[in-house]
Amino acid sequence: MSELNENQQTTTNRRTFLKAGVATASMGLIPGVNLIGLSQAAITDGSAASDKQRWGMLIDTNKCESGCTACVDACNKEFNIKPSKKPSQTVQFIRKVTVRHKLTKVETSLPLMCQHCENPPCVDVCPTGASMKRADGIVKVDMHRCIGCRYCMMACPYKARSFIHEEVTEQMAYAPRGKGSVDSCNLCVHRIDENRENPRNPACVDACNSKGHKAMIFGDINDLKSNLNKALKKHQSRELRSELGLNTGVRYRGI
Amino acid sequence: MSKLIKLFLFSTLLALASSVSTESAKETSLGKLTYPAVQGKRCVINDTMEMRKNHMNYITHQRAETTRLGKRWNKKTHKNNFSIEKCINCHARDEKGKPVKLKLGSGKLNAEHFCQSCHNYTAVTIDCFSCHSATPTGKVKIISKSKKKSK
Repeated sequence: MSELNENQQTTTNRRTFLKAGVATASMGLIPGVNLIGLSQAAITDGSAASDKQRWGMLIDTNKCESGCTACVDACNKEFNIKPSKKPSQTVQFIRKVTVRHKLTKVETSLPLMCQHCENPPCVDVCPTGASMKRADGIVKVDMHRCIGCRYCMMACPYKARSFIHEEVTEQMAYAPRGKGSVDSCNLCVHRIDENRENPRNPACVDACNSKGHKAMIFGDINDLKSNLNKALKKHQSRELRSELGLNTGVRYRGI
Repeated sequence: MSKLIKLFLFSTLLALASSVSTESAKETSLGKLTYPAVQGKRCVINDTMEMRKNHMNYITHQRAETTRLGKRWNKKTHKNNFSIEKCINCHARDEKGKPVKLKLGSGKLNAEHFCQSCHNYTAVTIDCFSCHSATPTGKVKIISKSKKKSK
């Protein structure tokens, strides 16, 4: 355990050091260029997602209430997910999980969804290239290519993906979803693409905030001014299954 | 003897079934093609024949860019937006501007849905609407036919 933490620390230290180095170098040498690079054009003119950004989340498990399912309900409402005829086949983008420490028996409740890995195993195993990572770090399914083989569901260490068993009739126009393919959390990409400079929070984060728990912070990890970046620098956080070296975009506090 | 009777029965049943099927085929003739009322302004290309021939190419080209690269175009103002959501928003409406459903209550495909009527006629099976929503969501300015004539 201590080894893992040390590893994590060294990697984050290296990353922050490099980032700081790049930032200072660019500030010192070419002050004007940096500003132009940061301010992106309006999204709706057809510009692609940029690898300068990386979307992520920090979830404070101390603030997450054990009985509360506001985030799950909000997600189901956002994507119009309805319970399946067989309960085990209900599509699930986000779920509440209770973890218990083996030694101290302390129970922690946390929301678990696609962790948006930097090195996603689901993308590695996909035979058609349907499982994909966008330039800005969002891992999602391109359903035009998905054949529903479910390799990605097997590969995912977080059980984050769901196969759609039943015909979907009342899907949202902004979030297509259909029988015979796999789908998962996409960090509400339709909300992000409205305005990538200052995006709306994903539905789960909005719900958590409006409930008053404020356990989830969403933002651009690379943006030094974002709340997420500041929070990540301030607090100790960790990724689930950090031993796999996936470098997830969703991180947790208090576990 | 019993074999003969069975054969006879079987053949009469077949004849009955075939007569029924021909009758139903007459009722729902594929030859009839409906052009649902198109609502709203001309949005993408001002050439109906070009769209009739090549609409799938426009859509397919942009779908990869949108899903994989995250390129999005303004739905209201941008002319080069070939999003299926935008097509549906105007075309899947009746003359009064009410949404036309893709599937009827019985689960059969609605021949009056703009996409479906033509694909029915040309015998093309599409699976766009197994994932994409086929009902319009946004608001559209309705240009009634009487106004068009007066202009």
